[in-house]
Amino acid sequence: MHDKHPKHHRASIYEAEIMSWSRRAGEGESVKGYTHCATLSNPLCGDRVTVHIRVDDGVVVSCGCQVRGCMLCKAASAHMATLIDGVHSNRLEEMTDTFKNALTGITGFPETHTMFAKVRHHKSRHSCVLLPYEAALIALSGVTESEST
Amino acid sequence: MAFDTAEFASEFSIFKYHEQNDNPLHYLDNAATAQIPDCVITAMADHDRHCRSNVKRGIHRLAEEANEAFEQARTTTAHYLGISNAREIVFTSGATAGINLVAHGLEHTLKPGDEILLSVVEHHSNLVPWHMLRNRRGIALRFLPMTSEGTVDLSRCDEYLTEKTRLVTVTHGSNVTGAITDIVRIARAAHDRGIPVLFDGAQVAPAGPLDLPKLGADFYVFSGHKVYGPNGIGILWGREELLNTMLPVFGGGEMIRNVALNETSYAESPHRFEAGTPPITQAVGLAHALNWLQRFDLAGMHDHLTSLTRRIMDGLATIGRDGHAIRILGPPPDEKRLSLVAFSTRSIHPHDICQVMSDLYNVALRGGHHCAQPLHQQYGLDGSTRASLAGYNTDNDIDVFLEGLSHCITMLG
Repeated sequence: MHDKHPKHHRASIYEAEIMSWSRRAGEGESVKGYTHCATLSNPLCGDRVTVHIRVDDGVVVSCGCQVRGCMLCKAASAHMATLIDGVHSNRLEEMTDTFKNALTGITGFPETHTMFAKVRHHKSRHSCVLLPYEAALIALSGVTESEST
Repeated sequence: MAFDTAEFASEFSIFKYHEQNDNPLHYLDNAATAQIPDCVITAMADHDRHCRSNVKRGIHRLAEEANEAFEQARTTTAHYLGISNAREIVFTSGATAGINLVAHGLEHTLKPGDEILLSVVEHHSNLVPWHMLRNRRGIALRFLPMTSEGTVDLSRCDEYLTEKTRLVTVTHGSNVTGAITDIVRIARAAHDRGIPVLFDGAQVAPAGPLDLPKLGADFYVFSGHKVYGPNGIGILWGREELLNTMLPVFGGGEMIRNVALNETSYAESPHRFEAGTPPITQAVGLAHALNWLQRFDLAGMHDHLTSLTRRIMDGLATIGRDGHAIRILGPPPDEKRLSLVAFSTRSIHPHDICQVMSDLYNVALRGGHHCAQPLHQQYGLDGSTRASLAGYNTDNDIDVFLEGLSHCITMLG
């Protein structure tokens, strides 16, 4: 019974790297000549991400996120936008699944996502860091606005 | 006997449990759910251990004992609300269910163009059922505005009450601003025009017994889990003559007078609205919680909580003066208000504050729109952070909250 509430569960998920990425999100910028766009909201927490992506011959050449939301959402948005630059657009679903599996503990975190490792223990915040990925997937599918469930 | 916070808190094992884990819990999320004292947990367990049975029609001894406990719970709740007629107490699953029950129950009396008067301060549970009724029935909804202090603005109430108004339904106390509505005033204005009033008492009922006839209510709802009782139980009170004009919402066992193959006649209130097996154990728990609460000096508890609320507001103002913009929603500390404080911090999301406060200080707060999106829109906000108090909260809880918040804002700002 005591394992559920360990004596010193005093670590914050807001480590320096997450805070640094969240500040990079800023207000976000639209991408010039974007080919795909979507806005996704999480009605439970109010996070809202607009993703603009420019795809050229199947490859993401530019991605930008405009975020209104918590630090985790901002950090994940800025991080994702950098990560998918130069990646083939059909790889995003696999990247999203890898991140989801790491958050739920099915697999470990890839090196690119270790800064989110502590988020695993806070299920209510998983949707915050996944929101930009889901928005990007929606953008690439051609739908422009949605709400996450 | 003066209110003794330590004595009050000693009745809750949850605080001892967290102390033993060297991680004291500072629970400031009571507007969402209050903790439950051990004696209420014991009362429910004892009911299930000694006289668990179905109620209302059983003949055997256990059934009679269970039914007596259930109906005694109804009487206890009636007394808590200043009501002499226990038939006016309907057990529901909570305040939300009670409001939905009224919305559905009165539907057949409404026609397109009829109006329901609400306010912009409402919790979603006192908005959404009326949106749904409007969509089904073509009625119109009108909204009393909000003052700059987060109170339902009754200054032009007479203009909002028209010949088409069929019901007024407003919060007794806001779960965001903490403002207490002048329900006596609005009840008087509505009754002058023959309009009934429903008050959402979810946030006010935990403060102590009420006198609903004196307040002028025609319907009143509250939830057990906010009054130191169990989840899954709530109360709809309504004047008997009004309840008996309402159609039932759920049909099934226990709510009928007679059933033939092709027709049903309904029981009178309250059973008309309690289809199926009710939350018996939870009703027993709720009654025990209400009786337990009244053993304490509630005027003293009120003074204690008012003092803590003031400390929070003064503390937030101090942190705000240190260069961190903090906006407190609701009336100033010298105004009559509930013991909760919602605030917003520029550029820091409420969920980030709540996460840090929980992770580093074991302070339980709530962040978001608190099921009051229109209210937050009045402030131009998506959400806020809220600290809400109960009788077991101490000065130390407030000290840790303020120290933690100051650190949190510095860290995240």
